[in-house]
Amino acid sequence: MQSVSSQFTARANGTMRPLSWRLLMSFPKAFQADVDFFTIGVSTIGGTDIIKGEGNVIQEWDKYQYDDYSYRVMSIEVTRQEEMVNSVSTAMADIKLANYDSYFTPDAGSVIDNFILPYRPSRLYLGFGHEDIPVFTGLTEKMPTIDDKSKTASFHLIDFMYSLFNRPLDETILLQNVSTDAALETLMDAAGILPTQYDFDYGYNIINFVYFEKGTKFGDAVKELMEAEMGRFYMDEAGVIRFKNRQNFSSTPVAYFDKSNTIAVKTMTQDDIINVVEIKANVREVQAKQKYWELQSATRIPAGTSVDIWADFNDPVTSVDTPVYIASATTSAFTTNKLEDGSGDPVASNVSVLATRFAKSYLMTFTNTNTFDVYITTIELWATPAKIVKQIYLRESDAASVDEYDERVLTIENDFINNSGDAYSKAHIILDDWSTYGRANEMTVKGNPALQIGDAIGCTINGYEGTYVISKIVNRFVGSQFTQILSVKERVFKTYFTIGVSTIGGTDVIAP
Amino acid sequence: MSKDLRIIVTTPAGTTVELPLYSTLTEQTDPQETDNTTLDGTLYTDFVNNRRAWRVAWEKLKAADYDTIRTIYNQQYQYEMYAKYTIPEYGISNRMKMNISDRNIRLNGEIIEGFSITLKEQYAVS
Repeated sequence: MQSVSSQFTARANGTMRPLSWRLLMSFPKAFQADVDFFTIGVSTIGGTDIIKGEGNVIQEWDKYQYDDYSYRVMSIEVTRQEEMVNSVSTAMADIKLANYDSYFTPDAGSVIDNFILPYRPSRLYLGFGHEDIPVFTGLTEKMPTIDDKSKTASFHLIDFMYSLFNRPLDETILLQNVSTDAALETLMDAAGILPTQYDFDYGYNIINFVYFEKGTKFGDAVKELMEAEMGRFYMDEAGVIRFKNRQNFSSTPVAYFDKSNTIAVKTMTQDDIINVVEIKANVREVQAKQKYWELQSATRIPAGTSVDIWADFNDPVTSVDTPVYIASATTSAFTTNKLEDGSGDPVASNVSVLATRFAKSYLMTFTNTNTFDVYITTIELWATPAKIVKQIYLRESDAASVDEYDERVLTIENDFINNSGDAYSKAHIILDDWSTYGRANEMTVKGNPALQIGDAIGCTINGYEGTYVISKIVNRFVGSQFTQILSVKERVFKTYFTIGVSTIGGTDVIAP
Repeated sequence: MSKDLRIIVTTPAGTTVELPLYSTLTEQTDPQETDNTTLDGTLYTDFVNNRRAWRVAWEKLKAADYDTIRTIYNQQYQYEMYAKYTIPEYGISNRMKMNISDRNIRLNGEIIEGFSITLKEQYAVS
């Protein structure tokens, strides 16, 4: 739950609730690099410095120069949702603005006419009285939809994670023996995200070998890491990118709902049930340097020319020795000859090689500066490949649930799950949370914009009693009504064993 | 002590006019709010603000006075702005949007009967 004042909470729970909202947009995308936290006596009121909030981080998107369009807001709807199992959250928003003067209409002569373009930074706030809190930080996705009849302009907004997730990695990433947070930091660096822009827990999952090929979408890479870690990855309402490890959940409800503050509640469908979990993983480990590839047939290099020879590998490699002309038996080497079958004279000079290593291939450019043709008759490459050393297959089920609902299988194929113990624990966490019907509900409540994904809430409505975790929030502000729809999931909270705190033989369980 | 219930208008054209003596002045409130009911019937209200409007009515209005009012009404569109209305008794001096009722013409066009205007304040009061 976001930090708010006691007055904010009192108003959220009150009977006459003065709604407030704010919309900031930066159509020109003017950027002010020197933005800092507001300092009394230094910063000026109305200046660019920002008030320090919950997060102790100034984001790049804090540095845009925003204009206030709150007075044009006709409706706001912000949807924030966590994906099942891999626990990656993204947010989107739809806003409808008054456009009586064609201000947002392209080519209509507005002062922002040249800037009515996709990807305009936008921020949304909701609250009560004079206190509003951030609920969304992102970008316009496309051009606005203009309705000339109702004189409105509608924008669909995506949070910065959306654009980040669709970005392909422009380099291959190979890492050994790293925790989830270290792997995420490498991905962030590859995506151009500064360390000041994120806040990560340490990860519990230690991965023998991380391999993301060039071109892998950033979002796919993060989801794979989160699926193995069972943590949460999201951009919060203020725009800070956060990773929470799998134990960073609070089971203490931040809000309670009964019939006096709930407008509607319904059970989600049994399609959500998972009562069989299959986990498959190929565990890779980097091997000692070894002979890994050989040339299959001789290759001719005409006099005075260069020829490329590609070596394609079955496994990613972390290093390859550059081949040298006839060397020792423990490093890469090549041999040359005047004849294709190697029966002629070897050519010891004026043949050079330039090599480039890729994750699963190796490019060798041979140059022959002799005045006669030369054959490369053999090449041996010595490398350190990351080979599959273990295959994990595990199938766990909840027999009672299978009896009632038939098999509902979730298959996880993730090579970052590196041991059977972890796989077993993960399977049972999922079964604990998803094998029973009626433990996921949608609640329309007397809302509080401070609620966040992952917050625990208590419910005392007959038939729905329990402690739930919020997995989706829709904040809807239309006209003079604030509606909040929560998708919640009952969660089995376990206290994990902590050395020095837990007792052997006690109820705390070993962390996965 | 007599009350000053005059309505003085600064028109969009910049002139000052006093509205003819009216028969009724009604304050109207139009809160922008939504009442919500929870599962057990508890009521709560989300509100944005409270908008105020003034209905001014004449049982009979001379044609010339009607024309004065109509000019102010027309100037809203001509000058693309609201006129400013002052009611000294209530300490009000705000720009307001004027809406007018039907024009019921009587006595060979000399009298307009049952005419009213509604002045909706530009800014909400809370």
